[in-house]
Amino acid sequence: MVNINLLPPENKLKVKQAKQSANIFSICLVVVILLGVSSFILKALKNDLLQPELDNTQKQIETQKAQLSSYNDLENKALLINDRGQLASQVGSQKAYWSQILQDLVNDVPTNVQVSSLTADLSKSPNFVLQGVTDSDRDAIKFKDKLESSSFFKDVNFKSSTTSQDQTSSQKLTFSLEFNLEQKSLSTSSNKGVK
Amino acid sequence: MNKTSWTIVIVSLIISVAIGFFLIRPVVFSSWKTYKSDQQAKKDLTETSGLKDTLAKLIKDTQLNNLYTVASSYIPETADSGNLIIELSGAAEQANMKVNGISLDTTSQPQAAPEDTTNKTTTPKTPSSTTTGSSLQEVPFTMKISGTFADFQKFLQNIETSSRLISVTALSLAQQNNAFSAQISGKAYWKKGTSLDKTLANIQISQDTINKFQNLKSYGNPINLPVESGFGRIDPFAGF
Repeated sequence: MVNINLLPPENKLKVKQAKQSANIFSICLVVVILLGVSSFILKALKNDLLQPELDNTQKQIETQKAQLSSYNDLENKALLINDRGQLASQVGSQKAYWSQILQDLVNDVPTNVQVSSLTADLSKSPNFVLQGVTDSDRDAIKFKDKLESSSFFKDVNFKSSTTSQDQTSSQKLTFSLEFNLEQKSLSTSSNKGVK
Repeated sequence: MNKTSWTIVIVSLIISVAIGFFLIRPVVFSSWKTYKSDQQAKKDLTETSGLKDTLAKLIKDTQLNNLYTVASSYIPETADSGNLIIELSGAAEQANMKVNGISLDTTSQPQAAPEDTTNKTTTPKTPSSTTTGSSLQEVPFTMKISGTFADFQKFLQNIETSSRLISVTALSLAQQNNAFSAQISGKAYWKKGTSLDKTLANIQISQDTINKFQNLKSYGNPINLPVESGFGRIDPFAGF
């Protein structure tokens, strides 16, 4: 069987355009409806799923916080311990361990040298001013060399030296040394803390 | 496409944009906000639960009170000058040194918190400091003592390992008429309250902190250098 369309061409075109418009309208309608529906779904998701979950979590937090208030005193103690621990580490890392510094200095003093005075101040330069008495230049130089080779001291300089004779007619050399503390030695002493 | 189709497309587009703007956009924004709040709330809940668990463990910890006492004596909440004098005199007495005078500068000054150079890495268990709270205050002091050099060294060791945090900043030693005398300047510290937030990391007490306060006598104790490394002198202020 053969279908023969006997409509005039203008009518054919009109029908075709009407079908096309109807198709487009349907598609657009579906898109608009989908958008509308999705907005409702999203709203429902938020109201029925997210919001109750949030409310529930917040309620649990409130309950926990209420229970925590009974631990307030304990909490403050723990905070103070940690705060003091932190401060002690900070101050300790910059603290000079003088007993160790002096021990190293003692180890550097030759047998024939007597220290008559020692002034140390880490806020001033030079950090150390030392006055000593010996009976020969050699010992004073030996002392200076030993201080220079120490890991605790640096920039060792002779400030002055005076020769005099005491009552027993033996020659005495009074000298003065200036030097600085090797800053690395500060951290060295505190880093070896916990044993 | 014919004119009618174009009209339908344009009208639909306008309607879609309107729906998107007036209906979908607020819902999406609001849902996103709720979702983010929920995530944050869950995080807070975990933190609070952790905090509660940690505190529940701490309450069973019998050494906490002892640690608190030690820590609050090490850096007290007030200048506590009286105890500082007792501490300094005790350290001297224990080392057989005679105290000739102690003076305190009561106008304590706040100290800028020194930078911690020993541990710069941030771990969850490391307490994190905040900018709130009072700062570390200093109590400067000067002390004159006399005795022997060997005892003076013992005195310094006592100060370095004392139950209160004390730093010696300057010293002046002299031997006159066969008598050894010393003048030391230093500072003790105090701080009102704490400057840590109430977070889980700040509540947990690390083993290092426990060790520090339980072993103040040995923590940071200087290594005793061997005498044989030098010329064998014990007292460099003594005559040769």
